Amino acid sequence: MNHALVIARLTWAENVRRKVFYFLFFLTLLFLAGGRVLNVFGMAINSRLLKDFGLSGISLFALLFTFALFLQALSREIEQKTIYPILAKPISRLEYLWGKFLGNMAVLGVFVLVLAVTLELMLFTLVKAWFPMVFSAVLLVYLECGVLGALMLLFSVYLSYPVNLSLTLLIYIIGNLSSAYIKMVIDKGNDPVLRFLVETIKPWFPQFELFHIKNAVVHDYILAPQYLPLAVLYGLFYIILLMQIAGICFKKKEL
Amino acid sequence: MNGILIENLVKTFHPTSSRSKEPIKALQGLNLKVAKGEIFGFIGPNGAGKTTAIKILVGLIRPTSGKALIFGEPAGSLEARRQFGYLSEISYYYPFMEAGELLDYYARLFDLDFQTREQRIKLVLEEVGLAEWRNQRLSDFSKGMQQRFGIAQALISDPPLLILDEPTSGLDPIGQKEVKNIILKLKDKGYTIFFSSHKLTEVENICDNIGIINRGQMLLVDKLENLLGISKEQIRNSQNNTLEQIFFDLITKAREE
Repeated sequence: MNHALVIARLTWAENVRRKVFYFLFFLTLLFLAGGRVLNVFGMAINSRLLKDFGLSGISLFALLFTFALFLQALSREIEQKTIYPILAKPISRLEYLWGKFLGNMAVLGVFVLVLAVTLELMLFTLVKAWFPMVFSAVLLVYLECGVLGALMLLFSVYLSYPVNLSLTLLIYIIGNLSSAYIKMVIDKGNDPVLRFLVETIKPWFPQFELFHIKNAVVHDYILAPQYLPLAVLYGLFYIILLMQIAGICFKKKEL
Repeated sequence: MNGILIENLVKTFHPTSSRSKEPIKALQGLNLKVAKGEIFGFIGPNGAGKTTAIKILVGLIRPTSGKALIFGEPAGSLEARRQFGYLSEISYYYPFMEAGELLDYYARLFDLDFQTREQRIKLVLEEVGLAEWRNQRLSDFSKGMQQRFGIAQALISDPPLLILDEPTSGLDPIGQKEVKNIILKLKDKGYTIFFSSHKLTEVENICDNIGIINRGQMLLVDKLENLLGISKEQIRNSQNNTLEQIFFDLITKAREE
């Protein structure tokens, strides 16, 4: 694991020098700041609206950030051959992959943390109250991005990045189909292919909808106390599973 | 114990994207030994299988069959990878990083403590003549300097064996001379060096033993003196490209067969 941390630090050092991330970061901050001026467009700003707007923005930009971080994280290293001097040293390929994952997640972690604190401060200045559930919602967004990142690393072992992008998006969309939508499809039940997809295939995919508690946070619904720890465990389970599979595939890959 | 031992090494590639689906036999029963402390020149035309053999040795690809050992450890194993430093044919390093900074990351992969890392970084940069460039970004380095940095990273753990894949490839004459001098200096320090090259005069000047590979098979392995029938001193001073003649004769004959 020590070697994975070395690669994580190297990945961090590489990412913090990439200008595109600063651009995305400031774009997101700008977007959040836009939440405070919604009333310019005739919408009465309140904490619910700001939470809704802010959490949606954080989800969207965290997702974009994740794709920017992970999509070419491995393929770029292979194409540019920067991976050769590293893998010729005594480090396992699984450690290398974990290093890439952890380094990228560290950058993403700082990104979402700063945004969550910014949103919280904006809410505080608006209604003079703290909303700790905002952090819970952002934590789950972070885990969702972690699962997507692990998925992209797995795909990037063998697939080109356009195929990687398409497959990851497909899985993300399938994993986001809500239970209500699935019930509706099954109830209507005319299309056997769609029925097969939602009944047989979907359960094997990560259920990304489980990471979305924005509505509960916006409307101050009370979540079951075990929901958050279970969702975190679910996310961690998928991350570890996908990374281990990626490690097995990468070990077999010829460079 | 041999620094490198290769026996009946076979590597077959199965192309997936090219029009021809015929398997490519890159190595067809390759055999070679590199004794501890010797400099072995691995020469052959383009596509002969030099880089494939080296990639198997460093663990970037796996052999289809056969044996490849580094100081008795199976090639590709973590134990084997502690025994050598590797310079790839085309080396790209993170351009945004400083030389010392990147060397420190590489050194950490060998679990070296801070003090040892600092000592090694200083020493290897001096060894390759880049001591004053420690805090410069690699993007500021010329191609020759990048190649010398590549040798520095290969030396970072002070391994007994260096595997250099065409170390002077793409360098101007000055860069070639600088790299050649570094290799000669390392030779004097007792490193075992295995290097592939196209440049026969370079091999003549540096190597103890020479192996000529063509189409994945070793055509000849021998000491340079035996091959040329003259002493090492004479070889270094010789203006005639005698090895070049042997090389061309062998390859032409093999192609005719």
